[in-house]
Amino acid sequence: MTDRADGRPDRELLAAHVAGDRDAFAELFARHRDRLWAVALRTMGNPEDAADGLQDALVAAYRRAGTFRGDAAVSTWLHRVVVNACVDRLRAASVRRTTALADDHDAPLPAAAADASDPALAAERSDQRRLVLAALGELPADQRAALVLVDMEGMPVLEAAAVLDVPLGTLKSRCSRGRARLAVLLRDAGVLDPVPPVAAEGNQQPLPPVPSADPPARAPPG
Amino acid sequence: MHDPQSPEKDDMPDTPDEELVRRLLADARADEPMPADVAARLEGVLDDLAAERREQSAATPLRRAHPVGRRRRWATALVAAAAVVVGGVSLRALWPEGPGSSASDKSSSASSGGRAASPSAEQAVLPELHSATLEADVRRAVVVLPSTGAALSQPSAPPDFACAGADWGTGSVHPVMFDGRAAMLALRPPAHGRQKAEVLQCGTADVLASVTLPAR
Repeated sequence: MTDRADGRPDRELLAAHVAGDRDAFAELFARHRDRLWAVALRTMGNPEDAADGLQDALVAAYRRAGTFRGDAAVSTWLHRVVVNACVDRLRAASVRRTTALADDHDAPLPAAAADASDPALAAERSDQRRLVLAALGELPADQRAALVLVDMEGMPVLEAAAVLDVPLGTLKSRCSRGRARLAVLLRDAGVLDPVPPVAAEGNQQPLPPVPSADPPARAPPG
Repeated sequence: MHDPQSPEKDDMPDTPDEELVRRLLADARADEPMPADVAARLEGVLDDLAAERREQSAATPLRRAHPVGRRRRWATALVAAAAVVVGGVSLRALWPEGPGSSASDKSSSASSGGRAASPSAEQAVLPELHSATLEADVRRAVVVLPSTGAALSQPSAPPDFACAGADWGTGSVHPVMFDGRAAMLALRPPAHGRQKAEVLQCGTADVLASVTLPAR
């Protein structure tokens, strides 16, 4: 994400900012702001806290641009600053764990709007997303940030580890533990099907087949 | 920028539950652009930052934000001190003798001295350095600092400049403010026409930032 056909590369903009260019940082931020907003929004759980976290990050990135070492993409560095600012806020304020049903999640969601031809399906998806975001808000901040980057933003795990400044194994562990916890929460919320009951000792009834025991089929690599 | 459904994004084998959770998370991704009110707010912040930067480069040290405790500690000296501008760097005239000391003087707690902070005709300066503009700040600061390797007869620093001593290493070392905090600027001995400047943390001499400049 450092070479751009629509302007100066990210690194050039950052260097220009450090050298005193008054417009360079604004251009750089405008280029990435929507994805940074998405990360802040999903990490913080509501628009108000996301805006606060993003503002913290904006100030930090502006003032600390000279510390950018160039060993990662500028976009990775920007994401790191944003995630750190958000996680700091979550930890410092011990943000209410049940913020997930805040304003943002009450609004109709775009994906649901795409199903407007089937209002029942749209309502179901909107409700499902709201429950997913509520469950995400129950996770510890580090697990939440990992899942936002990897599963929501689709960031490669290596890059997500760089953003969070943790070893790859730590990132994977956070993702795995976060997903496992989410599965429990989503099952409790009725989003995931309940686990088939385990037969009690002495139960002579045959167990029903478990169709989901095998890994889901994957498309062959292209 | 990334494809949430990309299979190569994660080489971890998924349980069926994990796979379902990942799909649900991908579906809950935020695709909305930044709201206009948030964008406007952040643009305002950027404007403020740019204005602050202009003020700093225009040398208005008395308006510089410091932590409350530090602001109080500096208040007396700042009121009495004359702010001078050399080469665009905001500099504080805070003590009557030269600001630099030899880096070989390992005992130099910059708070030592006990001299009166009265400006004089030979006022020395306390450069303000900022991480965002470090190279430019250092380039301007070295113009007014003692030459590399110059050892003063005794460590000099303003009486209110609190910076615990440490092993600063070779070269010359000078009290500075770095991002609003007391620090030491070490100008290492030149080599091959280049000279490294390091901003060192008080008390530990940890390198907070560094730049390499043409040798003076």
